[in-house]
Amino acid sequence: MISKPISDLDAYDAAEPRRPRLSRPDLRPTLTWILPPLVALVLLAVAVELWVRLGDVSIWLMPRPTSVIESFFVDFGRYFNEGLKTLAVSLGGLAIGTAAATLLAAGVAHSNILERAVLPIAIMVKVTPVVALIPLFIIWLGHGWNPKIAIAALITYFPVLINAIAGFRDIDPRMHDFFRSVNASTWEIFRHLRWPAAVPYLFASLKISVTLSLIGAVVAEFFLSGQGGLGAVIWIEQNSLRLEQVFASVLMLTIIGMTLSTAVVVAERLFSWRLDQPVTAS
Amino acid sequence: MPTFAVSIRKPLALAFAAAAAAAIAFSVACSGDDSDDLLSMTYMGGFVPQANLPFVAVYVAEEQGFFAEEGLEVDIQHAGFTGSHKSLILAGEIDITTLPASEMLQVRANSGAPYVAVMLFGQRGDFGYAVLNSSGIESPADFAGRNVGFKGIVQSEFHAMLAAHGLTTNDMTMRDVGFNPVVLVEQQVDVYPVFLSNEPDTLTRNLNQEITVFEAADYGVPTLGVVYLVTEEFLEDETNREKLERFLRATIRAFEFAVEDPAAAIESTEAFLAEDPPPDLVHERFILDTEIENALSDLTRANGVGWFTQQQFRALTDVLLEYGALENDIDIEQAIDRSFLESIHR
Repeated sequence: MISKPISDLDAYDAAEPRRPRLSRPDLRPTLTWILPPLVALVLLAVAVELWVRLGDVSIWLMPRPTSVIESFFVDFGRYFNEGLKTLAVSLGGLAIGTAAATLLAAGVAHSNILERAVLPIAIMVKVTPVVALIPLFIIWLGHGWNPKIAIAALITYFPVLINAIAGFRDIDPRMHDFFRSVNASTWEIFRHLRWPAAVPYLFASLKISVTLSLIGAVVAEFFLSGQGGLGAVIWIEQNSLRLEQVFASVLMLTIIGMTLSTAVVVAERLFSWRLDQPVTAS
Repeated sequence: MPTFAVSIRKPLALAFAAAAAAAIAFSVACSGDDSDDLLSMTYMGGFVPQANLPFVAVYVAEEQGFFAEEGLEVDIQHAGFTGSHKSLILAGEIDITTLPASEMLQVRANSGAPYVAVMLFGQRGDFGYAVLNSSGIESPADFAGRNVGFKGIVQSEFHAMLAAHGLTTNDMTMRDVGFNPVVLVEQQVDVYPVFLSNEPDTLTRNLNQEITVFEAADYGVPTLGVVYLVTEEFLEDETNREKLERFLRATIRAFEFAVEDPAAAIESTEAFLAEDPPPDLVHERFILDTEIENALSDLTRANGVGWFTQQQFRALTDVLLEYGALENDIDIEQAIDRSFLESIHR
């Protein structure tokens, strides 16, 4: 039985368990991680503040960043609570979209006929403007959280699907032959060969789709603003021309987006380290 | 002879020169008058081009030459679905725009936007509450225990209409339904909020439903429709006031034209409608007829179209305050300016 994935047949020695190539990841946030985006954000805010002040830009068109930051801290509880709702929709959509796309990709990777049948439909759904579907999703899925989660899932599945198909197929043919030669089952080949090959692809797609899921959640909240969420706050405050609150909501969305992206990177490191542990074969 | 010739030629030349100078001076003077007299302004409709009365008044004024007769050149724009007109007018990018009176008051009260209403179209609100005739609902009192839809925000006028029947939203199940009347047809809700000027037509003609629409105004709730609005800053300039008066005179004329001959008004409107997909002119006519009906009242018959009073805005503000749509009260006198209508209808 093969208990761990093998990625390189030439380097494989059944008698000598492999040494992990990566050391245990250092998950502590470092200055090199945090400082560059922080400095860039501060510089951007300063540039906008100067532009608005010196350029005599109407406050009805662009609020001052200092006013936005003030609103953000004064009403932090509101943005945080509404952000949690958006985060829940986003993560729900991401989980469903990623799971569905990965399962579909696993099937497609094994069958060219399935690929020919499914991919045109996937592309058709992908190119359909999500906004046009929201009123229908409300009718089909009800008036609660379901349509919002469905929109977030719909917007995230495509990058995962395409990357996962590529990943499941990106295996060394000699390794595949080797697995066949030891009478490995389709499940064993999937688990120990295709899945590890797909993991880097999945994480690459997650880095894209994690932020897409936030966009999907916010767009859906524009249409179902009665249930709250940052999309609803943006919609309501935009209608009242309170641009500080609009941009403060965007700031909270940015923080959530950066946190999610960082979480994906950390998870990728953890997962890669785990996959790189010694392999034993029997 | 040469001397004679010279003596004849000299006065002739002088006469020609004087005549030419006079002609040039006259033409310069005339052209100067024209350029001084022709004023230009930018109007932005608050939605996509369609036969809403505040839009039609502008289309008709342009197509029938009423703006030109007033010496006015109007750049007609639309905000589409963006809502950008609300900001652009405050930034001075456009001169005049449209907004429902309740929304205008809300933005003015909640964010301090210095909007000023100068003409009122809808003498009652744009919202209604549609039920299927088969639902057994005969009045808002029957909303109790039902599923009631709302579009993002429950309107203050809805709260007030319920209160007039001794109800609150706690007596029913409120559902955020977005913008698709099919939820009523599919009976996912028993009550669906409609924009009076178009959705009843969609429900009856396109979706083949028999419906009843309840309006808060029928139960004593003060509601108002769309206004033309400018800003306080705009009104501080005399030239702006002059061109605004011309604009309102031309659009009031167009308004009366549309009331007299709505078919001709729709013909003028066609030039502004999107060509692809082809406009549904029956639907456009429904919009116009509905809004004309809502724009005429005893008040306008007595004073002229577009008329409004301070009391109307005060009553609407009080309802919006009572149900939390306004965070602060506002000085109505600053939010409206009736001087133009008074001057035009005098």
